[in-house]
Amino acid sequence: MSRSPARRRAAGAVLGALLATSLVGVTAAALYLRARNAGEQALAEAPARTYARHLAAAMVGSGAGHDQVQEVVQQIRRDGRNVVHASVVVEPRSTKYRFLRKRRYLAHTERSRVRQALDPRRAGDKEIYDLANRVRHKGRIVETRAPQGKPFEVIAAEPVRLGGRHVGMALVVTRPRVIAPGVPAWPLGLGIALVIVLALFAGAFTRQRYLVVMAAVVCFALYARSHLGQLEAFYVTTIENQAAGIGTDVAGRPPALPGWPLMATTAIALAICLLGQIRVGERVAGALRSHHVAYLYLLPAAAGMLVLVFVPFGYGLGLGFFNHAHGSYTYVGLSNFAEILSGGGRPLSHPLNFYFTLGVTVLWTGFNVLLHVVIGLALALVLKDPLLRFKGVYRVLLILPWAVPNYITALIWKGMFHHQYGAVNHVLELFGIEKISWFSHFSTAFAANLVTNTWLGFPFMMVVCLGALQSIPRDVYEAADVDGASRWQAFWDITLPLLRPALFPAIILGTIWTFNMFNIIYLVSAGAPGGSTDILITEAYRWAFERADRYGLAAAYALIILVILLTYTLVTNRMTKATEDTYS
Amino acid sequence: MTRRPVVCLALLLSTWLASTAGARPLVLWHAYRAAERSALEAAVQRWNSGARREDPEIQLLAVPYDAFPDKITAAIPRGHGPDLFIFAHDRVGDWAESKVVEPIEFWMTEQHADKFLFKAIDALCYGDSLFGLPMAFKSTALYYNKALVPSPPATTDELVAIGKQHTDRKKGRFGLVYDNNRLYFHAPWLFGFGGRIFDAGQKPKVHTAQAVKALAFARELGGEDGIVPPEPSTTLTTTLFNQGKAAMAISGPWMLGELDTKRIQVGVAPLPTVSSTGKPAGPFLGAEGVMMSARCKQKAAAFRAMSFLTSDAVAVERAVSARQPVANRAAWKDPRVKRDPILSAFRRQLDTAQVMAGTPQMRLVWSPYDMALQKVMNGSATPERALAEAQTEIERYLAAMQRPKESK
Repeated sequence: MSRSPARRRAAGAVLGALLATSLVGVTAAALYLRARNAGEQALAEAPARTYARHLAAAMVGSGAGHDQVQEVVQQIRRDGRNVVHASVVVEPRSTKYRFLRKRRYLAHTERSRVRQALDPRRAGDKEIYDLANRVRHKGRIVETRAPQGKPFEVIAAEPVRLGGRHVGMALVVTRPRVIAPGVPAWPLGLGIALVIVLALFAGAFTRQRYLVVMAAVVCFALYARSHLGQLEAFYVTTIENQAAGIGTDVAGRPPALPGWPLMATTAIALAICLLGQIRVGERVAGALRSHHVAYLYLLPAAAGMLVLVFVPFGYGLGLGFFNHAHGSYTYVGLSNFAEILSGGGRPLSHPLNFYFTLGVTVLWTGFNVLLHVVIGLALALVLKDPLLRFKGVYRVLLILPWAVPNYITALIWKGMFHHQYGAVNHVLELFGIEKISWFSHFSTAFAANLVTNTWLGFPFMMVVCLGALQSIPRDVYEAADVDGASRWQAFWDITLPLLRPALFPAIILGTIWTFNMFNIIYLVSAGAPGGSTDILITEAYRWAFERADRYGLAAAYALIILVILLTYTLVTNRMTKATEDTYS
Repeated sequence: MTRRPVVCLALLLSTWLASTAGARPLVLWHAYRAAERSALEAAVQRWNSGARREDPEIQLLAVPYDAFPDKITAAIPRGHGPDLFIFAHDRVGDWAESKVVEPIEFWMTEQHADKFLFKAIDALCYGDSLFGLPMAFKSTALYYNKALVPSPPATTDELVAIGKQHTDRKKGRFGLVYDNNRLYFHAPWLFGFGGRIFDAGQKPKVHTAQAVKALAFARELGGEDGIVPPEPSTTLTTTLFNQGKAAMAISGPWMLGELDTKRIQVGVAPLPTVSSTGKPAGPFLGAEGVMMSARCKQKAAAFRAMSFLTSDAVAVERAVSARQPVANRAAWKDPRVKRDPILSAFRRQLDTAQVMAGTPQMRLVWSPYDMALQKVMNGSATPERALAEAQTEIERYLAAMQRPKESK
């Protein structure tokens, strides 16, 4: 399966060039479509918007005079331009209930409905009522909608204010003709095709090929930019002319096109070309070619990782830069991180201060891992004793806490720490000690958490130690015995150093687990008293789901936890490598 | 989150059943259990076999209470939710802001609204729209063990005196039990001492002289030699009261179903008046309403179903068979409802109860206030300091919530 290096190089070049140019091409095409759609929309909406404004002005000008407003409605109807509905809705309030509003039509294109109340039995009135509600809260509304099987409609509603009070709305619905702008789409398609051909052609060159592609990319981006500018200008002038035809200066403009997408993709394309120039694409193509079966096998797992790990990860990462309120998100930059890292303006002793929580988390992790290792190791040493009988039974009993799902254990322990009915307090009373209110003070609540998690955590360390102890050769101890070493010396100088390679990874793992041990904290102490026993992960959860729906802040917390744990892992990894080196 | 697949499956099943039955039924989610559930099922049975054949059937789905609001918030915007659901009014503000619930005042008239107790229907109102019809009102009241307390206390001084008689901390007996770590249960004292949660401009203002006094009083009740047990919870309230170890308890109508009426002679009375101010200790009032999803496809029919479930006839039945404190004025004129001593105690409590705000601002108050209560109860902060901290915390949340609105 060996191929010539020249061909492989050419294939890599084609791949890179294709990628680069199609990126710019697709962006330009998307921008073009957006500009077209926005322009069409604005064009179609302009008459309804203008009429609604006109009608509202008439209403205010006449001081809500019935006949004058009805006259304007008839005028608008006669004016043509596909007006299918025009009305003015007024809404006197019920004096008894703040939610009741007796909305009625002050004017309507159907004369029979003038001065009539909105009627639940009539089709469409609910929609108008909802629209009036929205206008009341949000102000002007202009919308296009296409009911199924019907031509699309533009709805424009303008709030009417009299004497500083909201009294109702002016509503105009039009059914505009579809307007085809005279802008041909073919130059764009041709441009994309041309650039792709150029890229393919450039790929065949062996030298300097990417410089050609880069030049083409830049030319194309410049062309696309100017073409899009023309398109925007076309819509703006058309709409202005139309508004002048109706005899008013109210006109909607299509939203301006953002400039950054094209610039960004051009930059990415150029970067790809530069990478190609230093033969990155070539190497990737080569690897794909020579190991294509291996990559094929990896594909399902890679896709799974992408969907299940990297997408949520990326989502969380992005969320950290947003603020959430009522289902809408606003970009706030680094302010979530700033809020956390500055302690949010709370004093250091405040449980919601980040550094307080971090301190508790570190304390929690440190104590736990220490206890897990010491108890686990001690039990492993005891169980290793060859003279011990019923070893299997003890082993099963000691591993049992690990086998029970941890939230069940947590809830059992929480019950045992209960002030009135808890087993712990009952035992204390047997010894004449007064009942302790475990979750009323930081130290006792922390101790309750610690006891629960130690109960859950030591079996793992014990199993790890047991396994590692088996692998230490017996003759090392015999040699030490012959040299007259005490058992204590044998433990310090033989057992511990030889356990280290197995114990270190277990400690790292245990630290990470404990650092993020959500279940125990959340279920046992639940952060009591006053959130002081919360660790970072439960704190993040509370910000998102219990305090103020601050998903962005919670995501930022999660990111900070990630950074802390990543740093910890990298540092300890380096340390263990160093120790491994000295012993191997 | 793990329960979502189950719900999805149930919904799939229900939609499949619906598609085979022809007309799409109205799916109604509720969190009722026991008697309340069977009363609702009986009412739905009547609707489904009733005369109005042009209206779709109602299909019930019981959803656990704890997960209920989150399921509604998650399911409805994605089109998987119910057409109707029954829940307390306290999330109405959030749901209205995020367009989860449908405003229903379009179909309402003054006569229709007049059928309900004003406070109950007012609670379901947010902004200037109505988002549900009240099924029942719920507030806490004073439960007492008739064997220990022959007549309920009328003032807090009496409450403390009676409580002291029945407190023996060594033997685990207490004069009064209630969840004093939570604002919901603390509210009667707060209002009784003349405190408030919002100022005139609807801004949260929890750090006031009255609130400090109320908190000091609660601390007196729950302190080392008070009459309330430490680390209380709603479960502890029920357990102690059922065991006869608590002479009095503060809880709501939901506790009725869990009481051991064979062992305990239960009495319910309105909460006492605060002796130092002369004001009644008014609890929070919650209204349980039937609400309509904003994604409901048959809104007019759904409103008719809502009106049926809250009609006077159905309400009387719910009150009689499930002992629900229903929100219909007419139901309270029915002799069977009027004669029920417990229901009428809750009805009298309604007069002094204060409607709990269902606004997003109110949601920000709960957690900091609960934290302040916890700190005071375990003695780690004075009422003054705890409330000052709660105030700054609430203002912080408020600022974060309003940030996106300003940038628009």
